[in-house]
Amino acid sequence: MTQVVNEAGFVPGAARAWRKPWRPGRGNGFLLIAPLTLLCALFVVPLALVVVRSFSGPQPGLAQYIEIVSNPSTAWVVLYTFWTALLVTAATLLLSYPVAFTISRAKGRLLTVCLAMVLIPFWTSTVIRTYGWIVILQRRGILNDILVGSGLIDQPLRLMNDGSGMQIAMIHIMLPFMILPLLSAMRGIDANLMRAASVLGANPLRQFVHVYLPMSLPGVSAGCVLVFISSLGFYITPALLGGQRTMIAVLIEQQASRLLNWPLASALATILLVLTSALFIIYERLMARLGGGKPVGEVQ
Amino acid sequence: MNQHLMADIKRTAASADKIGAIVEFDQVAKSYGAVCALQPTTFQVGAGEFFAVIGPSGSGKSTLLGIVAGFVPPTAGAIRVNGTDVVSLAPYKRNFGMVFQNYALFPHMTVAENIAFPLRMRGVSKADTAERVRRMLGMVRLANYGERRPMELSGGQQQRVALARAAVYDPLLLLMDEPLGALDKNLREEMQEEIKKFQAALGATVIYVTHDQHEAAFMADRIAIMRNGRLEQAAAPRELYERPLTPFVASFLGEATLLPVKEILSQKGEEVVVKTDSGLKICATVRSIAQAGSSICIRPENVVLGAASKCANSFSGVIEEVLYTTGSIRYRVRLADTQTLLTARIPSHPDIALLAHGERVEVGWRRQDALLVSGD
Ligand SMILES: Nc1ncnc2c1ncn2[C@@H]1O[C@H](COP(=O)(O)OP(=O)(O)O)[C@@H](O)[C@H]1O
Ligand SMILES: [Mg+2]
Repeated sequence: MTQVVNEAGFVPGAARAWRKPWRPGRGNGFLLIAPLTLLCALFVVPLALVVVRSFSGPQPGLAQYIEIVSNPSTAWVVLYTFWTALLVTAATLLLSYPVAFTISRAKGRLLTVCLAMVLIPFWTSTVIRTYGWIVILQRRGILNDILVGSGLIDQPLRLMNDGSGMQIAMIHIMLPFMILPLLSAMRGIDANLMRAASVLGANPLRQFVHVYLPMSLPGVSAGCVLVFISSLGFYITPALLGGQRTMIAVLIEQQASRLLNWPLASALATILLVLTSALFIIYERLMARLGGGKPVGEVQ
Repeated sequence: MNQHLMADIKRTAASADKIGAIVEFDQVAKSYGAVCALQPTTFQVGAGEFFAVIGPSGSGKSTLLGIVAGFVPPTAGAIRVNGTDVVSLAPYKRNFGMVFQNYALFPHMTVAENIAFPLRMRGVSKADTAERVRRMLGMVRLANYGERRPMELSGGQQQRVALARAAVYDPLLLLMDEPLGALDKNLREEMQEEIKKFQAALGATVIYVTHDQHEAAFMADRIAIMRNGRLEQAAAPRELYERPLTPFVASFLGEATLLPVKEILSQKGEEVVVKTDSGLKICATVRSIAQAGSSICIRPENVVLGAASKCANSFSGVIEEVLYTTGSIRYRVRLADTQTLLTARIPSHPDIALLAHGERVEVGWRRQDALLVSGD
């Protein structure tokens, strides 16, 4: 048996293979016992306790939730968290798409260098990268020195206080989470499809709009879900760079370990959990409806 | 093919009332750095001609087709389509149709959307598009498959969608790069006939790349044989088979015994007497000037076994291999010079007794069946 492989390394007939994700066989279910036990004991049960505590505080019932919604300062934190996650996701997508596109076309040493530039920050601790941004963005930091020194502005920017520094750092930290899914989708796009579109009469812009972009959408949505959900629960960067602007995770930490208001912290955690799960379920439904895309768990 | 379909094809042909493009290759060449993918090549494809390009893998067939389609820029030369040089035109301005080896169907579009794509790019109205897509789906016998995704179709069906998509905008030139390469043998033969009928209905010129010599011989008006980025010979299938110019062409198309020639003993017009490397004296035919470094080419079906004394060339030999293939028997005969292994093929028949391995046999062939071909 010989297989014909053409220039693009495409094996005829293999096209249909990528549709079928691997599934564990029926007989192998026992392999899941150990991880499931661990998951139950250390994740599901504590989480259930958190949810239960959120309803059973000093006065059982919805008191904690009413408190969160009616107190402007906590309600505002929830909304601001969503706004930040949205902003970070949009900015990451805009920045990542051209980068991923370039890397997907790169070969040889350029490819290695580009991938290293994405992966090395990815492997570096978030704490370290956040401190790096503090050095750059603080009141007497590198950025302000340059801007004030060159006379572009008179007063140093207060990036550490108004949340924008935190958002910049989060965008930076989230970039690999967007680039990698995009890259995997883009590298899966057969170069012959673009050639076909071209021969069929599509100029480069239309090739992109009608073929490339739709085919990269599974990567776009996977990356967006990943970044959005990660941003919702982000802790370190908001804690260090957020200044007066607080995100949910920071608020939970304050309530739980400083103010010892566990019921309120539990309620906040429950809100975060429910919203995140809801988003994920909507995303999965949407992808299944569209049919063309792969759910986030199956990105190659 | 059903009646309704034939009527559909006839109607299209009548309404098309056009003739395919004339394609001229003028010293077209392509190199990738130091690698020469295509040496300067000149040939012409006639209007409405079915022109096949065959050759081993890596011989430059796809490069040639890519240059015509426009996504491989040639390093030199011109390609004139109906007299206009298209080399500087972007692929999307050339208005050619192309079928790719892996079909290159858009997986995120339905079959109908795939076929409508080139019409959409040309700003054809919605109603007109729908009508033409419907007719095209009928022509390729996929009338009820418009709403499916390409992935839900079999290989042969995908192939037909690719064909429909390439032809729906009535291109004057259709390019196909091993369009049947991924199909199994029976389906391939069925599709060969369909593509031929399809082309006849469209009236388009076709340049068809394949590595299957049978497919090329069956489908093409003319065949070009490529080797190492060079066009060895372009001619009608029968001429290529019966009058190959080079040993490569002789052995690539069909089967041939090739005997390297040591010296030309005499030449009188087309008749030539040569001595092979192994010392055999052979009477042969030559179409051009006999040169040193040439070979004698003998087709297996022209070899006579047994009563060979009537032939101009007659030798004794020993059967070394007997192979029965459907309809014919293939022998390998070691000639008395002990170096030459001759292939003979005779039609199989219940009355014919098989010769046994090791049996002595008289073999021969006529002068006109031994062709002197030059080159390596
Ligand atoms: N993009 C490329 N870069 C470098 N060499 C190439 C490229 N495409 C083709 N080639 C070379 O050009 C030659 C002809 O290739 P191709 O036209 O694809 O052959 P075929 O289609 O007959 O198998 C081969 O030696 C191949 O390695
Ligand atoms: Mg090829």
